[in-house]
Order: sequence, then structure tokens, then C-alpha cells
Amino acid sequence: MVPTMDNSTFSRIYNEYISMVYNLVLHYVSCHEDAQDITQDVFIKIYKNYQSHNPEIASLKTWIYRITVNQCLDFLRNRKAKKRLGFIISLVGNESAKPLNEAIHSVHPGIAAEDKDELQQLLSLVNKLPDKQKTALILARIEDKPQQEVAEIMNISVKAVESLLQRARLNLEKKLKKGEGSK
Amino acid sequence: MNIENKLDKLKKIRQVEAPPFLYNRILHKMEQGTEMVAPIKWRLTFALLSVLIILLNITILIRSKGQNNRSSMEQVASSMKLSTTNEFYDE
Repeated sequence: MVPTMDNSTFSRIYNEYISMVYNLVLHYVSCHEDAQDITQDVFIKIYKNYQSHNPEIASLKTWIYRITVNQCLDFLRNRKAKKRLGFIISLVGNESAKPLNEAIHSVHPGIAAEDKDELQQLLSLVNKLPDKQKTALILARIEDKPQQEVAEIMNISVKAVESLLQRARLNLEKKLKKGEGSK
Repeated sequence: MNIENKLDKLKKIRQVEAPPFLYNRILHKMEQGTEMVAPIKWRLTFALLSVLIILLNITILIRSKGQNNRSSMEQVASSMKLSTTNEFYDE
């Protein structure tokens, strides 16, 4: 690996963005251990690809947001694939699929005890949405970003963000009704 | 309850501090990465050397096939001047 930035620059970027990256990752995975692994990979990618960042195309913050979102979605896709594989293996008699299932049900550490049930249920429903809808909702409603910034991070138009949020709301409503109906 | 009100509740999620050991863990992993990956020049040299060795082996095999038709036992016997007949004495 060829170092593309000096240690002081990396340290400055780390200190400035660690909280942003770590908290965004937690919204996707709700688990400290997974969040630490993903955050680690995000900062290694930043270090490796720093030279490829063009400030005229996107600000450093937007670029880091994009790397983080992509890393989270990759992680979730891999976990899904491993879960499927684990299920097939467990049918044969191996127990390796169990820890993966447990990780999915962990509680976001930023949720207070009194809101735990309601918010974690809502967050897990958000995480069941398609990737783009989920990202738009996390950025707009949890991170509280304006739609213009969400559009920049996702590299789409503001109209597309509006449409994604609308579809996400409809999907969530359906899922919530389904959940209430099954109680 | 209205979906908008429900979604507003997501703002209640508090910010969490990243563990302080994470920075050192990242630096450690980056150092490991530098140790593990060989530079491109080394990899190309290694690939070229491997191809040369394989080609050399193939050439030697092809050449030796054309030259030697006698069995190895016969070669040993003739080089040590041993008789290859079953007779005890040459008359």
C-alpha cells in the first residue's frame, strides 16, 4: 500500500470526522462491534484513496459520507449473503449461522432505555427498506440533513430524494400496519 | 399514529462517542497492510522468473526426450563397463 497522506493530515481528518462516521454507521448496523469494524475500513479507504478525492466534484465531508454509506451497504449485503449461507450450512448441522442472527437484533447504543422498544422496532423497519430509500431516510430524518445535502451525498437530484423519501414513508407505513395487524 | 410523528421520534437517537482505541487499531491495520502487500515491481519480477523457470523446464524435457532412447539401466551398465549378457565367461 502506497501512503497517500501524511500522518498529521490523517490524524486531523480522523479527529474531525470520526464522530460523524461512527454515528452514521451505527444507524445502519446498531451494534458497536460491527460499527467499529466498518469505521475502521472507512478510514483505511480514506487513507488509501485520498489522492483520488477531487474537491471540485465533492467536498471532503460529502466524499467521506459516500464512502461510509457504501461501506455500510456492502457490509449489510455481505451479512445477508453469509446469513443465507449459514442457514444452508445449519440445515446440514453446523451451528455457525447463530451469531449472525443475534447481531441483527442488537439495540442501537444511542437509544435511551425508555424509548428502546419503540425506536429499535422503527429502526429495524427502516433497515428493511431498499438501500436507496433507507439511506435517504437515515440522512434526512435521523442525521437531519437538508434534502440538498442528501442529494449531494447520494449523487442524485433533489427531486429523486423527495421521491425516495415519499416511497420510504409509504413502505414504512405498510410495514407498521402489517406489524400492528399481526399483534 | 401519523408516520411523520413516528419518524420525528428517530431524532431522539443520541450521538455516541467512538471508542478511543479505534484510532490505534486503524493505524495498526494500516501498518499490517503495508507489510502484507508486495510492491508491483517485485510481483512482476516474480511472475517473469516463474515463467522463465517453467519454459526452461519444458525445453530441457523436450531436448532430453530426443537424445535418450536407451533405458537408464543400460546407461549405468555401459558407463561402468558391466556386461549385460547372462553368460559367466566370454569365450
